[in-house]
Amino acid sequence: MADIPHDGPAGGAARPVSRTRTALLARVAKGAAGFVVVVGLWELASLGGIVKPSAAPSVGGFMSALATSLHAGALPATAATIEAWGITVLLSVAIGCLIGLLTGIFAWLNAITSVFFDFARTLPPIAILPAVIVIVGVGQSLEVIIAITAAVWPVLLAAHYGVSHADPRLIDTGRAMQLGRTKRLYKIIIPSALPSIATGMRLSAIIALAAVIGVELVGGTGNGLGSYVATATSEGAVNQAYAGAFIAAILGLAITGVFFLAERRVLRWTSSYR
Amino acid sequence: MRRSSGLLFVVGLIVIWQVVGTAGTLYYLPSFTTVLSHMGTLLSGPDLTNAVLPSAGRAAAGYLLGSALGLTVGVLIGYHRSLDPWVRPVLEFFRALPAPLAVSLGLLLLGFSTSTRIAVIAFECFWPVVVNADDGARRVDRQLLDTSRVAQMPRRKILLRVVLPASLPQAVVGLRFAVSIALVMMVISELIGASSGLGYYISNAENNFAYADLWAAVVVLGIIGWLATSLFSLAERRILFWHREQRG
Repeated sequence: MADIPHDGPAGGAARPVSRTRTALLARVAKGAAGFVVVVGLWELASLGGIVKPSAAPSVGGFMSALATSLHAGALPATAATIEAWGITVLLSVAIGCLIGLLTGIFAWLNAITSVFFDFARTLPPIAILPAVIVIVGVGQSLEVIIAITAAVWPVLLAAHYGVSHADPRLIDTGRAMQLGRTKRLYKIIIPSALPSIATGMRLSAIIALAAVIGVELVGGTGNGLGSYVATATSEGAVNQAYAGAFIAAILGLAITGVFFLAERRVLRWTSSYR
Repeated sequence: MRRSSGLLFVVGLIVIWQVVGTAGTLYYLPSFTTVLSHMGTLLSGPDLTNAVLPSAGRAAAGYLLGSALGLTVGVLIGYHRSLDPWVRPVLEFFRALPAPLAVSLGLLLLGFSTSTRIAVIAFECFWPVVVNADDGARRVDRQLLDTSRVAQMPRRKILLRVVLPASLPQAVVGLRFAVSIALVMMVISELIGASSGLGYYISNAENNFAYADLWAAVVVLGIIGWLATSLFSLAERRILFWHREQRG
């Protein structure tokens, strides 16, 4: 199966990043300045009339909408999204790891399933939305099922890759030490696969969020940030829609950050994997 | 041996589909042959030019636009390393925005039209590409850069012939991800307030309980997705063949 993509947010430095506190502060300040510039340009656009108030909020309008929406429907919507997302990630990781491990260990299983998987993972998950609606109806299970079909692949591929590329010398060492098959599995093979799985989990978490919100947006499930934005859009409540999207982006950043830190932890514990 | 057992498995799944479908136990699942014939109609009739091709075209246009911009901007940012701390947080923010929401915001901002859909697809394809191109360009071997400067290559040439190719292995990660994003965005943009395209065809079929048409369109989407991914892998192998040789 294909390689695992190794990408990451602003963490992979090309040269050693100075870790002094001033250097860190400088980086944060520069980043904040970048945001200020973008916000400033946006405000200019809305003031200058390039962006009409019916199309996008001004910065002030956006801020007040953010405040109101945090009091109004946005928080329960966020909670609903997080809940669906959490279930999705748990199940995707479990299923992906299980299948990936099995196909990595048993070559015959991999041979049987690889053609099907290579096709199935290219299918845009949203495509099966109408079909799944007919089967399970609108609701959280709809979100979770479709999001799983999207989010399982990074973990599955990562687990498969990690297991099938475990260092053969380590495995041989295990054999030489007379470790049985099962012991070799969970003492050598699975730990070797962990870095790859950690990366896969991060990708899976991000995809899961996008998928859950996508289903909420399109499927009319009624709760969740996607529904929040969809309702706002259809009512023309521009400020609200942008506020909801902003909250979703913050959520995405938080998830990316947490999983990236966790991934770094796992990678650091494993010696020079890359 | 590998391939054949995999194909057998797929054939087995299709056989199960056929059996269950003909028996009619699941009212929403017609037999495979029925779906196949509806697929034939879909791909040979007027819907080919009304739905299938425009959808694929929009996805392709959005992808190419977004990736080209992303590659250009990313390589430039990565080359001028001092730009990175200023710009990167903004890029990461927009990248963290869950892609489907861009459709709603785009509709609000630009209205319902084909160019809006292409713009939204391009918008969401841009972020993974720019971030990965930036990473790739930042990690270009300093020796290569120094050598080109010593050889007094003009800046444009350095960027085009040294930095860009060197960033490609990392940029390709983003480009590959953007393929699936383009397809998903295409479908979502056609499920919301559209009047043409495969997504619209699917939601129409859903509303009319035309299950055979529904599944036919889903399979066609799957084929488009598979084609797009395969095409990408082919292109990737071509473009990166020198890199693989180096890696051994």
